[in-house]
Amino acid sequence: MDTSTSQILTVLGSIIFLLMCACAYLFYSFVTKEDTIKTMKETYQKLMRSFNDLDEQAKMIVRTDLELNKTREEMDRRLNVLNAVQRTSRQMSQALNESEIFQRISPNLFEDLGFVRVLIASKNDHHILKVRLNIGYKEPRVEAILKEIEAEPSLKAALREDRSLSSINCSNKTREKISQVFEVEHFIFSPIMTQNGNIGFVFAGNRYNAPEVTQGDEELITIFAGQIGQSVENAQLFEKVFRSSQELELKVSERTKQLAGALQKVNDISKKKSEFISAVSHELRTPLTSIKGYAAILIAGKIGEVPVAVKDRLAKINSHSDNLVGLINDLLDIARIESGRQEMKFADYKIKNLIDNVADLLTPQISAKGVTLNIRLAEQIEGIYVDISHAERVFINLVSNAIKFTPPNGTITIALSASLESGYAVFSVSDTGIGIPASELQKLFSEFFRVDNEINQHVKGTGLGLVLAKNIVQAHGGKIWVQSQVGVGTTFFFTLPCSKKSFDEHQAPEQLEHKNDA
Amino acid sequence: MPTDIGIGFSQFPNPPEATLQACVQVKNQLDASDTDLIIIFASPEYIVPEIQPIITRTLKPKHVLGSSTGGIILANGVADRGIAIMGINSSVMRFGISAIPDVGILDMHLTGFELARKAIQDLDSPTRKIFITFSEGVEKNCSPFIRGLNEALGKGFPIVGAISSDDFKYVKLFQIFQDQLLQNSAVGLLLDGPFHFALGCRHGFKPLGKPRTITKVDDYIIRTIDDQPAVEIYKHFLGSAAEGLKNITLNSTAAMYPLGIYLEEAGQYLLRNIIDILEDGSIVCQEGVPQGAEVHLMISNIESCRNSAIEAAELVKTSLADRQAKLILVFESLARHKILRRSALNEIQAIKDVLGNNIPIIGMCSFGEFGPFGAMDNLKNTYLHNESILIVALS
Repeated sequence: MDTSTSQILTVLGSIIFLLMCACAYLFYSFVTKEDTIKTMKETYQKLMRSFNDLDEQAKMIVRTDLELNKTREEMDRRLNVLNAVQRTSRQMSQALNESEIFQRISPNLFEDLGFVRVLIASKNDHHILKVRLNIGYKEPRVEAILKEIEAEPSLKAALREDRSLSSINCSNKTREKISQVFEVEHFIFSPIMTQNGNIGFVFAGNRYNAPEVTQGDEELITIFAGQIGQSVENAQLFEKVFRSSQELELKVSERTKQLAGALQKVNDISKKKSEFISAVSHELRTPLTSIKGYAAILIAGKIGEVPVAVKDRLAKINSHSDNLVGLINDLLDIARIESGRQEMKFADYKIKNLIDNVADLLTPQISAKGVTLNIRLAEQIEGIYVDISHAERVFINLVSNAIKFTPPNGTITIALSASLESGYAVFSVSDTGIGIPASELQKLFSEFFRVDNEINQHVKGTGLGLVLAKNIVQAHGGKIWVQSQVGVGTTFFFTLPCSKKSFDEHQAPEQLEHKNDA
Repeated sequence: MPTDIGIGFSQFPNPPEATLQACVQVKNQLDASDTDLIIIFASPEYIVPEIQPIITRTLKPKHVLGSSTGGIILANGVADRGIAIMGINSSVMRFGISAIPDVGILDMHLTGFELARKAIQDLDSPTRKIFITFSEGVEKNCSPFIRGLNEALGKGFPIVGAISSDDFKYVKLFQIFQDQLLQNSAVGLLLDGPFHFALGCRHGFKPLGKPRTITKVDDYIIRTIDDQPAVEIYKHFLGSAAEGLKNITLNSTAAMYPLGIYLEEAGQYLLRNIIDILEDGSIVCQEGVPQGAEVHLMISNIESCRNSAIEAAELVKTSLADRQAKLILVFESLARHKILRRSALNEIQAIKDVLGNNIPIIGMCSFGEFGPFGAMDNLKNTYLHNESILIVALS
C-alpha cells in the first residue's frame, strides 16, 4: 500500500467516521426533537385544557352573575313596585270618597309590575259591578267580561270566598276558563273585600309572550286589593261619621237654641221670683212690724191690763211674728244676693275674732242643748277678706243647724284647715248629730228643703238657712259642700277668701260643688 | 371675562316652562345679555319646537348644539328626564359648529368629512383644539365616519362625543343645531383658543374565558366566531338566557355582557353591545367591529364601573397637571348607567372626589361614546366605544 492509497484510506476512514458521527448526531437529534415535540404537545394540551377550564370557570361566573343580576333586578323591581303600592295606598287612604280612591290608582303601578291588561271593578249603590280602571281592553269587551265573571263559577266562588286566583295557583281547567274570559295567558284575580263582604275585584294579566306571573306578583296584587277594600271601608266610615257629625251638629245647634231659650226663661222667672219675694217680703214685714208693735203694747199693758190668758196668746203672737220676720229677712237676703242687689262690704278680718263672736252669740243655745263646742283653727291662716256680717251669718246658720241636730253631750267643731285651696281658707262645721241620708244630700241646698227626719218634724225651720249660707259663700267666690253619715254626724265645708287678691282672682263665682263622700 | 359657564336644569312637566326655568338659571349665572355657546341635553319628550324660541329669546345664543339623552348627567346625579342647558361666554374660546342632516344621504366617510369641514369653516381659525360631536345613525358604520373626521381635522386630532339616546325605546332621538331639531343627523362643535383640555376614557369590563376570533363580519353584524355561528359564544356562557337576546334593542343581559374586541394597536378591549341575534346565529352589534380580531365576552360589576370612572378621572387629572378644570363634560354609556342604577351618583361623586367638588359638570348618557382609548397620550385613534365613560375637562 503506497502512501497515496494510505492517505485515501485515511480520508475515507475519516469520512466514514464523520458520516457515522453525523448519523449518530442525527439519530440523537431525532430522538431529542421527538421529546421536545412531545413536551410541546403536552404543554399545548395543558394550555388548551387550562383555556377550556378557564372557559368553564367563566361560564360558572357568568351564570352566577346572571342569577345575582336576575335576583337584583327582581328585588329592584319589587322594591319599586312596593314603593308604588305604598305610595298609591297612602294616596288612596287620603281619599274621602269611593270614586276618588279609584281615581288615585295610577296605571303606572301595573306597568311597573309588567301587566298590560288590568281591570279594577267595584259595585255601585245598586250592587252592580262598574269598571274603575281599565288598561288594555276596549269598552264593549269590558262589559262582556263583567257579564262573564257573573257566569263563571270559579270567579264567583273566588269573589264570595275572598280567594285570589292566579295562573300559577289554579287548576288547568280554571286557568283556561279565566284566560278565555280575560283574553290573557298569565293573570292574577283578587277580590276586593270589606267587612260587609265582596265589593269588587282587581284583575291583572298578560298576553301570551309575557313571562309567567310570580308568587310575589300574586301577593302584591292581593295586598293591593286589600288596601283598596280598606280604603273603601275607611271612606264609607268617614262618610258615615261625617254625616253623623253633621246631623249631630245640627241637633246640638237646635238643642243649644232651645236650651238658651229655656235658660233665658229660667233667668227671667228667677228674676221675677226674686223680685216677687223681695216685694212680698217688704209688704209682709211692714204689717208684721205693726202686729209685733201692737202685741208689745198690749203685753206691756199700756192700754190697760190684759188677762193672763190673753197675755200668753199675745206672747205667742210676738214669738211667731219674730219667726216670721226672721224668715222674711232670710228671704230678702237670698233675693238680694241672687239678684246682685246686696251690697257686700269686703274687708280683712281676723278669723279668731269672727269665730269668737259666733261662739259668744251661740253659747246660750249650746249650753241649753248640753253640747260641746270645739274650735280648732290652724295658726298659719290668720285673716280672711269677707263681708263680716254675711260671713258670720254662714257660721251662725251652720252652727245653729249643728246644735239643732246634735243630741245632748254631742260635740260641735268649728275648724280651719292648715292648707289653702287656691288662696281660700277651708272652714268646716261638724257635728256628731243624726246625720243626713245620702239621698237627701243633693237637695240640701235647695230653697225650703228640709230633711225628712224626726227632729225637723218637731223643730221649726224655714229651709232657707243653708241656701243663704250657700249664696253668701258664692258671693265671696267660695264654695260649700257637705259630707254626712247617718248616725255619725255631718260636716259642712266652705271656703272664704284669705285676701283681696285671692278674691279678685276668683271673681266669677264657682258653681256650687257637692262633694259627698258619704 | 375670560370664560364664564352657567348650567341650568329643570324637570318641570311642561317642556317650554322647564326650558324657561333652565334658561333663567343659566342667565343668572352668566349675567350677560347674550351667550356665545349653549349645549342642550334633554330627554326626548322635552325636545319640542316650542323650546327653541324660548332659548333664543332668553339667552340670545350665537351657537346652539344639543342632543336627546336617556340620562342627563349633572353634578348631583343622573336625571332620567328633564332638560339641562349649559351656557358658555368666553373672551378666549372660539366656536365653530356644523350639522349634517340625515346622515343616510351621504356615505359615512363623506358625512364625517363634511361635518368637520363645515365646523372648520364656521370656526374660521388656523388652529383648533378639540372636536365634539353628537350624532345618530353613524354608529353602525362609524370607522369611515371617524376616518372622514380625521381627514378634515388631521390624524390624531382629539375627537370626542356621543351617540344620541333615549330611554331605550329608540323611538325618537334628536340632535339640536341652532334653531333646528334634527333626527338621524350629526352635529359638531369645534373649539379653539388658549385653553387646555384633558380627557380620560375607561370601561371597567374584564374579559371572560379563552380568546376567540371573529372569523366573519359584515360591518356591525358578526357572522361567525371561531367559525361557529357567533351566537354560540353567548349560548356557551349564558345557556338558555341567550335566547333573551333576540329581538331586543338592548336589554340588561346584553348590557351586562358586551363583547370585548381586543385592539392590538391600543392594547385594550373595545366594547360592543349586542342588540339582536339573527336567525342564522349572527350577532348584531350596536356599532361596527373589525374582522379577525380577538373577542371575549366581557363582565363588570358596580365596583369595577366605579373604579373605571375614578381611573378616567385620574387620567384627566394627570393630563391637566397643575391646571384647574373649569368644566367637566361626561359622556357615559346609557347601558352602563342601567348597570349602575342607583349607584350612578357614587360614580359622579367619585369623579368629583378626584377632580374637585365645585367644578360644573354636565353630560349625557349615550348609545355610544366617541373618543380615544385611555388618555391624551393615545389620541392617534378615535373609536366609538360602548359601555364606557369618557370624561373631558376644559381648563
